[in-house]
Amino acid sequence: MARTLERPSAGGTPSPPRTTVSELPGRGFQPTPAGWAARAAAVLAPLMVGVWYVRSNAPVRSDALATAAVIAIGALSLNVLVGYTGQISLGHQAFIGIGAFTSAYIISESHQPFLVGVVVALLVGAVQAVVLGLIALRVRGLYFALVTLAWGKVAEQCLFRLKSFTRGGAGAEAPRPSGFTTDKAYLVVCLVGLALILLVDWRLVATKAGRAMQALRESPQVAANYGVDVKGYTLYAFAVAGAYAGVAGALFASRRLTVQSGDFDFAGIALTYLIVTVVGGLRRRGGIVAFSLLYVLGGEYLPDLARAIGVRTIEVNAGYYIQALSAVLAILTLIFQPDGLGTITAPVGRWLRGERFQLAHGGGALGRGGGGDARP
Amino acid sequence: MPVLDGADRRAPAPGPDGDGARRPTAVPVLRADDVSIRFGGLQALTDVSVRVEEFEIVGLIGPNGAGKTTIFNCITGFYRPQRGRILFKGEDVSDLPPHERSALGMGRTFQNVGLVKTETVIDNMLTAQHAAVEYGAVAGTLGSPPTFGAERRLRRQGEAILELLGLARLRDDPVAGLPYGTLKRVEIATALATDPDLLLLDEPGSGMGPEEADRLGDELLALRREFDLTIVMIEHHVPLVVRVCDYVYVLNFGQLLTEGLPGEVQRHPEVVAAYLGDEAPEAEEAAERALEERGVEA
Repeated sequence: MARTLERPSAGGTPSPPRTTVSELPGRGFQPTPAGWAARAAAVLAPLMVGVWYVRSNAPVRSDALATAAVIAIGALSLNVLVGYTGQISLGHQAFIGIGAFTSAYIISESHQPFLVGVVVALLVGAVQAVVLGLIALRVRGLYFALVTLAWGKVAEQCLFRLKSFTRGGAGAEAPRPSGFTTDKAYLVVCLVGLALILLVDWRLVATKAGRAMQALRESPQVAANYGVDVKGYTLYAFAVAGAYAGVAGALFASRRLTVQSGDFDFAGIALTYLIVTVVGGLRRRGGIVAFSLLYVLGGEYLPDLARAIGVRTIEVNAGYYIQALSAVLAILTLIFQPDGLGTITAPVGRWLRGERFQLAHGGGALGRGGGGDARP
Repeated sequence: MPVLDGADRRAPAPGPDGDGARRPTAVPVLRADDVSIRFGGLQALTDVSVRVEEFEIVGLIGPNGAGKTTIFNCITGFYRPQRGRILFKGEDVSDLPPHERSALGMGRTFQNVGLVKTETVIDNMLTAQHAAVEYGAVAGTLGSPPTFGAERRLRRQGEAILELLGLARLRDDPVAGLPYGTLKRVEIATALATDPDLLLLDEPGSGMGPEEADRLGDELLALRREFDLTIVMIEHHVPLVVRVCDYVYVLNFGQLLTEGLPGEVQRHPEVVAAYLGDEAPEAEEAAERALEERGVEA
C-alpha cells in the first residue's frame, strides 16, 4: 500500500517514515449512537415542524416563505459567478426578469404547462448569461462590472418594455400550475425548485466543472496549466448562473401571478440579491439559504418589532429596516467575517455528516479565501 | 500513470567521448524551432532552438532575464512566439492554447508557485486531473451516478501521488500557509497529477539549501523512472544541474549561448563569464564535486 520512492543512491540515508492516507488523523472519528441520534433529531425536527405547518393553518405567510425560496435561488445564481468563479454581476434584475417574462409568456401566450415555462426560462436564462459571459472574456474587473450594470439597465428600460414580450405596463400574466394555486401549495413548488437547485449546486462544486471555476477565480494561468479551458469554463459558469436565475425568475413570476417591468429594478433585485449572497456567505450555500429566510422574515416582522420597542422617528415602507440592516451586515461581513452566515452553517453541516463539531476547519472544498499568501 | 516495474528508462547514454553528441531520435519529445518573441521594444528570444529526447533530463540555465521562463511560456502556450514553432511528440502545437497542451501531456510548474491557494492540497490534486476526468462537465453538474465513482477514483489517484512524494499528511491542509519549500514539492505533485509525459520545472530547487537540493535531485531521477518522464528544468543550482541533467542549454540575452553535456558546458569560457561571473571558482568547484559523485554512482 504505502509505496515509497526508492532512492537511486545505494546505501544512502534511510528515508524518513512516511504517512499514508489511511493513517491520517481525523479519519477515525465516529459519532456515538447518541451522537447519531442527535444528528437525526436535528434533521427530523425541522422537517416535522414543516409538515405540521403545512397541515395546520399557522399564521406564517406562505407567500413570504416562497419569496425566501426565490431569493435563495437568485442569490445562489450570483454565488456561482461571484463566489465560485470570481466574476461579477450587477445586472441580475435582467437575469431574473428575463426568466420571469419568458415563463409568463410561455404559460399565458403559448399556453404551455407551468413546467415547460420553467424549463424554457432556465434555457433562455442560460443563453442570455452566456452572451454576457462572452463579453467577460474580453473585458475584465471594474469595466466588466460596468457592462453588467448597463445590461441590467438595458433590460429594465428597453427589453422589459417590449409590449409583445411583457405586455408593457399592464403586466404579463403568469398563472400557477393547477393544483398548486394556493400560497401554501405554491410554497411547496418553490421549495422543490430550491431543493433541486441545491442538489445541482452540490454536485457542481463536487465535480470537475466546479473545481475548474474555483481554479479560474484564483488564477487563469494555474487553471489552464491544470488543463482547464479558461474560456469554456467561464462561459459554463455564466450558463449555470443564468439557468439558476431563469428558474428563480419563473418561480418569481408565478408567485406574483402578474409581472411588470417595474418589478425588476437594480435596488430591488440586483443589489438585494448580491447583499443576500455576501451576508449569507460566498461559497456557503447553507448560509445563503439561511440568510434569504432571515431577510424575508426580517421584512415581515422587523417593522412590528420596531414599533414595539418604540422606534417612531422613521416613517418608512415595510422593507426599510431589513434593507438598512442587511446593508450594514454586508459591510461588516466583508470586513470581519468573509464567510458570512456560512461561519455558522458550515460547521453545522459538517456535524450533520458525522464529523466533530468545530467552528474552524482546516479546509474543505470551499476553503476560505484571503488566507496567508505563501509567495516569497 | 506510473509504471512501477522499476525499469530504468534513462535516456540513451551520450556519446562516449563526451563530445556533446547525442543520438538524436527521429521524433524527439519536444522541439522548439527558431523561436523568437518580442515584447514591444524588448527582443526577449531570438531564434532559440531546443531539442529534448525521450526520458532525458534537460537543464536550461542562464543569468536572470536570459529568457528561460519566456521559452517555457512559449513551449506551454502562455506566450505565442512571433516566429518559430513548437513540436510536441512530433505534433505542431504552436497554435494550441495552454490547456490543450496540458491535456496532451505537458506538465509544468511555475517560478512563483502555481497552485490554487485557497484550496486544500488534495483539492488541487483533483483539479489538476481535470483533463483525465471520464465524465463531462454537464453530467457532473447534474449528478449523474457514474460521476460519484469517478470522483472516488480521482481522489485515490491524487492520494497515491501524494503518498509517493511523501506529502500524504498534508492532504487536507489549505495550500495557503504551507512553507515555500513544501509548496514547490506540492506543485510537482499537482504537475504529476496532470499525467504528463514532459515535465517542465521552473526553478524546482529555489529556496532550498544544498542538502535539500541534493534530495530533490535524487527524487527527480526516481520520478523519471516511476512516471516515465522527460524533464526540462530551469535551475540556478549548478551542482544540481550537473548531477541530474543529461544535457544542458545555456541562454543569455534571449539567445542560445551554448549547449552540451553538463560537464563541458559549465567549463565553457563564455558560460563562466556570462553566467557564473565572479562566483566562478567556487561554483565550478561545487559542480566538479557533483560531477565526481555522479561518476561514482554510475
